[in-house]
Amino acid sequence: MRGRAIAIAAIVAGIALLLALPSVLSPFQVRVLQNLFFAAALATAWNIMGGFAGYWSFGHAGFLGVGAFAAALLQEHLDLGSPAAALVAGIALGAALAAILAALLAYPVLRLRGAYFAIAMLGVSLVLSELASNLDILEGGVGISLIAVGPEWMAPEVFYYGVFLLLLAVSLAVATTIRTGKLHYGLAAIREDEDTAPMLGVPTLRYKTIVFVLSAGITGAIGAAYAFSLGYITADSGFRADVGLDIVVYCLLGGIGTLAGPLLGAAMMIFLTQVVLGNLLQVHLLVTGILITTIVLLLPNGILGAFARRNRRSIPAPVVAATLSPPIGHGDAPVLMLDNITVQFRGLRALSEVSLAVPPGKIYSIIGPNGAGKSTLFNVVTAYLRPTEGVVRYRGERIDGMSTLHLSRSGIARAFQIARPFQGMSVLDNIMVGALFGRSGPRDARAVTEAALRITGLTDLRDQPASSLPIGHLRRLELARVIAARPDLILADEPCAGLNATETLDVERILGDLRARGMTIVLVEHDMATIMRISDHVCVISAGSKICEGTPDQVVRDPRVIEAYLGTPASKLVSASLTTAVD
Amino acid sequence: MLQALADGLLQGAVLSLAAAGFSLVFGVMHVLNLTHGVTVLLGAYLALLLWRILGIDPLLTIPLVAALLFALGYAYQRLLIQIAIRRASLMSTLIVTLGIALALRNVLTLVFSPDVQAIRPSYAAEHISLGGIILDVPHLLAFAASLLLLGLLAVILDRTSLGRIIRATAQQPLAARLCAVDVEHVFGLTFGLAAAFAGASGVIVGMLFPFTPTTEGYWTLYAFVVVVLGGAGSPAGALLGGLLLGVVGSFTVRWIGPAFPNAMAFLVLVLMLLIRPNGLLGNAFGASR
Repeated sequence: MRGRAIAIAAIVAGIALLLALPSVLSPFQVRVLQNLFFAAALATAWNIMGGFAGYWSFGHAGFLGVGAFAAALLQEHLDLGSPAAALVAGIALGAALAAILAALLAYPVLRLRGAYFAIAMLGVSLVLSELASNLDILEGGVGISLIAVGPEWMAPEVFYYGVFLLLLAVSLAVATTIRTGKLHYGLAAIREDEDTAPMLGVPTLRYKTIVFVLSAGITGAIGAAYAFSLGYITADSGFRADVGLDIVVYCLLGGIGTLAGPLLGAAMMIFLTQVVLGNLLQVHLLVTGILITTIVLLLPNGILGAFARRNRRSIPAPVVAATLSPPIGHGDAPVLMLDNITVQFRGLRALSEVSLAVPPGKIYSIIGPNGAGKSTLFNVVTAYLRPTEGVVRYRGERIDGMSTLHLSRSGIARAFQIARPFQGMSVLDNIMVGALFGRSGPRDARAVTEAALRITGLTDLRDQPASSLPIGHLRRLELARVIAARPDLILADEPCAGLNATETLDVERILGDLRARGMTIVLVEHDMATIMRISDHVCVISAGSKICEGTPDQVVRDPRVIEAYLGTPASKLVSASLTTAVD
Repeated sequence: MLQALADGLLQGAVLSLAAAGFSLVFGVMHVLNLTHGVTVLLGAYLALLLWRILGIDPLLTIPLVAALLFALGYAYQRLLIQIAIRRASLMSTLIVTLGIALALRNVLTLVFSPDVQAIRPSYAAEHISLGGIILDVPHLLAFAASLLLLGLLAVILDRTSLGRIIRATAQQPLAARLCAVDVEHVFGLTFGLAAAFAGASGVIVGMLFPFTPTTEGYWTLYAFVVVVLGGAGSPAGALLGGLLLGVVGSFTVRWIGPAFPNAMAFLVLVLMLLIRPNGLLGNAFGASR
């Protein structure tokens, strides 16, 4: 209670200070602050996309310009009665147009990643700028004058100090809201590993589009206000390519992906360029360039990033009633059915007419010599590959050709052979992604995460960054993340590969635990001993065809299996050695 | 129609050459070098100096300019890019090269003024007519020089031991290291080679187009478009992408308007990224990204 009262008092005092400042500062100082708020608002909006989702746009100047031209053209062609109305309508239109543009761009550009996205966005802003300067109706070549919208009794710099402060507040509010919600976990997952995220149920395209549109909309609104503050805009001053790059620098300097980083970075850079180097416009780019380079080389995570999160510890949440059994009760009908699956890669027939039915609540293992088609089969089930012929059904519903996202939503989870944790996130946060986007819903996410931590024995490592874990722990983390999604069916691709004997036993114990909770597990595994110890049912494939199936005991005694593995008719010795593995 | 096609092809060859270095660096190291445009301009400004002060024909300055920029490129890679990759990430090189590009653009402005410059040798205004198509002599020379240099790069990559080592390192840096290849040195040489060809293209660019320090951004962007169109790494990909970009540009000027070739280039770029993200010829060194 007391802490809260202090926080409120601090906020009130801060607001009072910000409101009082203009009356004590010189006009020049007020203008510097106005520019600072402008820069910080832009950087915060950029950070929503660049920092949270990891999509660095080099072309936010395009959205700035769209906002600026929308406002300028609106007030030129449409008389709204009062100057204040022109400003408000301009900001609204600027935000709307920039947001719509982003929504239209989302489909092509959000398919690009990393540097491709950054440069494609730079291209977009360049094209927009050229259109503005060359299309006559946009008048960017000659320029557009804007009416003065501030009240007469107020100096313009004081008025825009207020306007940009307000926009900064909006920008920060949006960023804070995203930062504290489920959205943020999804975005972090996208940033860390976009291929894994949909497998955990993160709707990547939708999330990226949401933040892209939000980020662009805010930038458009700021652009509209910026046009009014200039009083006259051209294509060059509206689409400020240099500003588009400066905001990247602010975020990098302060700490990308943090809330305060963009503010801090903007404050430092504006102070440096406008107060310290105010008279050295000629070397502005030189200084900016050298600064960017130095920052990246010395502080790859920015100023805040260099100090942050060394000592942060999460508080364990109580494990409440949340159970980890799958939400759907099931009868005896097979969970997964493959019907006459054939996969043809040009001349090579990787699978031919494979049919199998996986009963619920069992561990169903698929084995076979190298090149038998295990991975192909696995890829068919997880919808990575479309079968040439045949049908895959999950609980009676046809799933071949469905998206990864849809599969994970309906309760199918996949654990990778090569563990792919979100490297930059803690163990706890990794599992949280699974829980939040799984089938337990955000309310139980913490409790489910705790339970998954306990089952996999990772409770003590909860705050470790995933990048620091050794392989045995990574494999368990991979399983924990899958478990937290509360799937119905788990597809595990060689979960014991590369593990030592103790670690293998750990994984076996976890899988057994999950079966006891009613989950169905399909296992592809090389290690015969493991298969024999934990499988309920084994299916052997060789050269693309199913050669036999049954209980582990039946399978090892089958001469066809021994022949497939060893290439010669069964000798007593081999048969004996395989049988000992069972015992 | 034929005139526009001829113009497009002539310009396209120059664009190809100007993109070859960028393409090589991207194909081998996966580094998007945003300093590339500045390197092109450095070549142009160096040739301008040599031509103005010593009166050397710009085409003859190419070997000297290339040698100078080779050394610069090698040092740049070893002293900055390598450190950025080691300390931060591949993505961070994008920012490092952006920073250096901005700083160098500023330096160029301070040294050479922001004014428009052009290299105009005595034959600059001459042209020949071939079956109704008018061809500028400088454009023809530039076309020939570009093809020659691209061929040289192809020979270096395909036929020399340096080329073999570069290709091997591009595909499997770790395996190359195990075969006692000094990978950092090879990366440095690749950067040097790229810078040398960028500089050489700059000389030609300077003869054909007026330039200012701020035009460097365009040369980087063109190179990016060319790589996306043609595919990264190989001179052949650069040639194909460059010719395509040149023709798109000249057709746009002819039928849509002189102000829109850049807008059209990016439209083609976005379409290409949607249809075939690895370019027409794919990455010469296997999977990218």
